[in-house]
Amino acid sequence: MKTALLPAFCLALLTCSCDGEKERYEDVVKLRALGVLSDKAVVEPSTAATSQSISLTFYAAHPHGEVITAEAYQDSSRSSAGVPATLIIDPNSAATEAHASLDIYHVKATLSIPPAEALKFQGINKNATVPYAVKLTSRANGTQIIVGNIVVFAPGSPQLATLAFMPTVKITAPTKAAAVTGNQDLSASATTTGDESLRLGWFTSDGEIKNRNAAVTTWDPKKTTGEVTLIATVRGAKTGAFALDVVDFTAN
Amino acid sequence: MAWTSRRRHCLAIALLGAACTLNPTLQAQTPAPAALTTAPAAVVSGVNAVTLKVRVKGSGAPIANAEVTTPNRNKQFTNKQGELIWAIPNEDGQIKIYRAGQETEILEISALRGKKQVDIFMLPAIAADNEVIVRGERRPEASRKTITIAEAVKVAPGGDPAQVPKLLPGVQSRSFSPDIVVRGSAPEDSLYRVDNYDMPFIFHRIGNLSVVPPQMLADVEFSTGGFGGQYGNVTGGVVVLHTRSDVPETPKFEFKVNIPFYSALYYETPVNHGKDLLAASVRRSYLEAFLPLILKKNDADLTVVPFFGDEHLFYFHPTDDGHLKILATHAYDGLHLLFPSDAATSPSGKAKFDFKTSFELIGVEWKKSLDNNWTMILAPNLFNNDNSIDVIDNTINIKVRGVVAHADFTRKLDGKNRLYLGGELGSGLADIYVVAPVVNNDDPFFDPASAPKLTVSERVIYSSATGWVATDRYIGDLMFTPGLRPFYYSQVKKSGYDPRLNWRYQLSKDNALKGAIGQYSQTPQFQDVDKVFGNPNLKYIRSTHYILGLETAWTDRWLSDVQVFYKEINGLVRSDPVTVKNNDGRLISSGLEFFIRRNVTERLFGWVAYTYSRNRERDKPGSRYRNGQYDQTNVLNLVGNYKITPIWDLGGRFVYHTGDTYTGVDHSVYDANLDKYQARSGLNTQPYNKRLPSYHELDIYAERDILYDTSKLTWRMGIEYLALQRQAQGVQYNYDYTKTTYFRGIPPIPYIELRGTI
Repeated sequence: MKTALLPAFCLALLTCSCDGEKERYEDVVKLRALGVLSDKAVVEPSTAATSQSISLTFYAAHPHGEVITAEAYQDSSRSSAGVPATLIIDPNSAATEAHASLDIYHVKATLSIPPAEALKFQGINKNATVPYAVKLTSRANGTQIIVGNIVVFAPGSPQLATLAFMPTVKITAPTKAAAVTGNQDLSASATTTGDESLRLGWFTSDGEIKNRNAAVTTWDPKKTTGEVTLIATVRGAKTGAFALDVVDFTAN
Repeated sequence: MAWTSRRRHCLAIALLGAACTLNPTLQAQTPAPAALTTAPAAVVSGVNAVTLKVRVKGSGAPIANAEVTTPNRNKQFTNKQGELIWAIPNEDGQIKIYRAGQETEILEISALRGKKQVDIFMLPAIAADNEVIVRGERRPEASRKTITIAEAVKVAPGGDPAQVPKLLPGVQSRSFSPDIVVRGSAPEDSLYRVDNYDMPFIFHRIGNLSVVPPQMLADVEFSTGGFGGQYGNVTGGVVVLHTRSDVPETPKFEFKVNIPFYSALYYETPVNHGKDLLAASVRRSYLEAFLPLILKKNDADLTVVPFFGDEHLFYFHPTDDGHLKILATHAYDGLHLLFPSDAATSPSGKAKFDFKTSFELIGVEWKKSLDNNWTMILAPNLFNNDNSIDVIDNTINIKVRGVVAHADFTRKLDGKNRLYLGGELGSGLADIYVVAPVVNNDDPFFDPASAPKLTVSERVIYSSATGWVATDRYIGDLMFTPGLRPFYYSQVKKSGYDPRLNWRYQLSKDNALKGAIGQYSQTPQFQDVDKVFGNPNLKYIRSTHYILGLETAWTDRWLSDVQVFYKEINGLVRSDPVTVKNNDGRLISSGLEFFIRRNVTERLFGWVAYTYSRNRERDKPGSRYRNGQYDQTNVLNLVGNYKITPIWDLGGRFVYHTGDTYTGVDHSVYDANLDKYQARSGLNTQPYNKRLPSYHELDIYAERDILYDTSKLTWRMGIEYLALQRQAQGVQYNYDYTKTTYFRGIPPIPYIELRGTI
């Protein structure tokens, strides 16, 4: 009967793939956002009528040779947007780090945090969010709109102390410049002293990662040989505080 | 064996004692019933006699009034127990055993000599197909249809009677979901009942199967709108599963094996000296044992442990002036899911999705005819409903227990006129603990991970009081039923009343014009009036139904029903940036329905149901109307079952509908807090602006009974989801929403199911 079809349906879901090329989240084959680093994990707003500012660094990865530009963006269709804030990008801060199989682009911006009286503190954490949005454009390979929130706590909130820590992430396997054959175990050490759990994410220039959100997982080279760039990112589940680490290795 | 029979294989002779001496002077018994009550295996007036015990092959049920014709053409009849004590003559010859609906049996008299008792199992005959099976008659209502359980279990998806409304006009449905959309109303806006009891949930969410076993049911009553005041607090349709009101003559045990999904056991027996029915049922899934093995074999990085089950106890006690029914039910579902996810915050990179839900209900229905032409139904019930959902770091625990007292009174007035009075009082206690974001249902791309979490921990006492009064009035060929339903629900803290009118005008013997107009009020969902997650000041959602139809009985077997409908729903709950929720939504559903039905006979039944409808919504006053979330413009269902022989059935159903609406993605953004892409619609894009391709599906089956003397096995074989190509079930995107493909359904799947009846 129809009820007996559920297992088959589950199997179909698991084995189903989109028509055409199969794409994987972790593949950096075009301009890809990686995350946003703020200079503070959480922010205490000003009690005066004036705003205060924090510094944000937007990170993205892309294949070699692309030229990226950044501009502020208004994500007006976002239903859960918080209080609007002003974002000013510093184009002179834009830089590109060259790695073995891809480049990492970053650019700095300044976000103004409205004063406490303009913010709405809500939810179980009694916090407000200040949204930001940036549009990155690659002349060769499309755009990326990066959105996010800075978490703001009311003055005197205990979370200002318990969450005021930036996370760290370190790729422990493979090691830098390692030569690997076949499937490679991946592991990353993500830590924070803040009172929050961490969300980990892998990116790679080639091959497939079995579970891109696991601290310990497997990289499958598929048909890849040569140099590979591996990126591990981490962010706080409550604050969004960000960190990344990059390792280049060689697949034989 | 010395005797011969036209169908020897279907007769079993039990040798129960030593041979008796024949008496040549024996005269045949008269068919007088009093003579048939003699105890089995007795000797009639000193002559040798045999007890003929006539039963139905496959069940062993006794056949009363089977006609036994002797060589000298005397006719005698079996008694209520299917027995006839027959004095065996000295002359050889044949006796013929006849009963309508069974194949005639012929026995050689010589084979009966020396036996005390002979068991005769009669095969079912090939139906003459000249008898229309009459369904239970109820008060006519413009848009109500009744399907017998015998029909429903043959053709309904999953053989599940509660899903037969999916095949009727005015209904939109989707594969893999038992939910129905009735004339544009969302699935949660329709009422499901078993007798007079509202069920917290009627379908196992895991099993795609209703919680009540079909063996305990008599028929399914379904109304797509315009229903009377006895039903309320919904704007959509009403599905009522009616339990049985008959007592079997013999016990029956049934089992069902559905590998790898679930098994079912069912037992019924007459009790209290055959006056009452006691039935019990147990169903339990074992998918949780098989599915992990399947997933492991496919190297899927998933943990999926679904389970469901239910147990029921049903007691029916008919009385001279009514009946007493007791129903006790326990049903439960659950799922433990662990899957790789961007939302994971554990080192394993996996997120969890756990849910458990269960409910218990015990209800008593007492029907009694009173003096002065009054009939009364009292139906109180107690229920308990536990729900828990644990998704990533969101928690929802809701426990509800309550009591409902239902009373119905009918008075016969002069002629066919009737007066109906009724009421229902309900009260309950809900313990609620929630840590979750406020869901914005109006944003098709709402991501709960981006919304602030709120929490509520409270105990809520709620109550309701409803009543109804209606009267059937006949003026010539016009019957009309005006009615009024006053109500009060503590969620809204306001009372109200719904006036309703049904009418029917008999144009001729075979044609009736009919219609209905009425108001239908519904409380917002519990969470929508919560002070944290909703707006306690929300008002009732109000709907008005307008229905006009023509019903024609072309013959006693063929009838048609054509209806046009127009329905407005005002006060639909929408998200609001200031008040969280508001009542600003409005929906208009209008359409045309055709229903051509071939009434059920012994051999054939089926129907054609076609619906054309438009469902338009707007989110606030002054805004433009747009496609509704549920807007299958054309829906066609062809359903049929044919009994080729007494043991072979063939049947199937064909479904066609316009594709479902969905909201197209304009672009996507990368959420840096969540490391995931989120879809966005264009600034001027209306929700549900796109449509899937049209959908079709053919499901066919063959069913064969294997009859043993007192038991039966039924094999059901079929293929589901036959289609010209895999049908689009939804839209799927790549990780950053830059590529769109249709999720296409599974390929045609053959299945085999085994059921047994002992």
